[in-house]
Amino acid sequence: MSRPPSPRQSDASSGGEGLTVAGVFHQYAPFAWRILRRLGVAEADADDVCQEVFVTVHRRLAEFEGRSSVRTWVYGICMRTASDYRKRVRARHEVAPDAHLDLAVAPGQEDDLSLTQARSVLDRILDGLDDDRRAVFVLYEIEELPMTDVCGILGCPLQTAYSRLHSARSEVEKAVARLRAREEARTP
Amino acid sequence: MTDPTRLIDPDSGSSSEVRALVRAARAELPGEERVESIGARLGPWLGGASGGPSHGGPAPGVGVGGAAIAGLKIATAAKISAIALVTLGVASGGYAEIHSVHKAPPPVARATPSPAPAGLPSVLAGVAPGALPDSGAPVAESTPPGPTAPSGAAPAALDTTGESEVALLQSAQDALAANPLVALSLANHHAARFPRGTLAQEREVIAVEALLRLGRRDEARARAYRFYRAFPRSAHRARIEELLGDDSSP
Repeated sequence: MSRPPSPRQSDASSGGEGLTVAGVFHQYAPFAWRILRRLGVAEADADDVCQEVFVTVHRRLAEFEGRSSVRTWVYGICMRTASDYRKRVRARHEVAPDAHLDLAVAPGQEDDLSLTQARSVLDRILDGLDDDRRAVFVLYEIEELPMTDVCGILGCPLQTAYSRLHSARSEVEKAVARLRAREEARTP
Repeated sequence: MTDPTRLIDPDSGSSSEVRALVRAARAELPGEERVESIGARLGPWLGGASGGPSHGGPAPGVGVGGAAIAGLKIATAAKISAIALVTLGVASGGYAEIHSVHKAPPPVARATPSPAPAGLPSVLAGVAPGALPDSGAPVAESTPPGPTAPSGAAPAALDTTGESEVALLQSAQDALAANPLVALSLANHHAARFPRGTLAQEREVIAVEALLRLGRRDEARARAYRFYRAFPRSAHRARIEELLGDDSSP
């Protein structure tokens, strides 16, 4: 399971009628948890923040009018909850730069890159993006949402989303290139 | 305009490292146990239809006094137990000194009826005054009116450092029945610490109920009015009105 149900599958009760918090939770909690992680929520805090998301779902479900898919709606709540979380974290301490990142994989050896390490590297790279670009990158590249849905969640024009994605991709590739160069410099 | 080829596709021109990073990110999902744990903490909020317990009183299987608590069955046991709540030095007003160290709640929703407003199911709540648009100073819990309020009671020690928003409110909810003053203090502390918190409405419900339990009905009503103005469409309004009774509508 790596993708949430399609909107067609999940939104049989568009407009909120018949939707239950339990139903939304069981369909989307794993994906909410995942997107929260990529949006900068530490693993140790992910469960609590995920709960916050579904507390909000509970509180606002009656207001859901079905203008978007439930999936998009939940992701939107995740975006705002993660944003609030990041503000709280930043208030306590600054996120370290990627100076100490270690890609630890040579080109062509991606299979050797442990998943955990890879996620850590990606998260640190994403930490270097501003919130707007990070959101587009996560929603499009990791959550595989269509760009129209990304725009719906972020409330931005399609062209703006494309621009942010292009910029985010460029930054990610540059960060990886820097790490690769560092690795190569270490290799005798 | 068609969507660009995703990075996971080599045709996108992405590097193998970037594809590996994206692939790893996509593969990360919480295990079933973890999801179930989160669901368990949400308790009866997952059991109701749209609107949840706040629309219709306690959720199924949750007794009077337990609905709110079950609703925010949130904080982990370790986190809750880490909250050394209070020393309420209350000599006068019929209160004995209370040394209350918050313990982890049981894994299931409590069904013990609360002693305060009879017949009223407990519910989460509470935007602290400072979080409301027209609110003034926080409710003066240090000088509570009414015969049941402790004189000069104030938490002497409140260590919530590092607590999450939900854990803090869980603690407030847990304290509501036995120590409403503590619950009120925690609710106000939540407002100060999370002025734009996700659970502002839930915090305010707790605060209103705590004030009622302390016999400070006028303050509870005033706080409720601020809540109505701040959150005119809140699903928690019905719960607050239920707590206050028929005279609560502005």
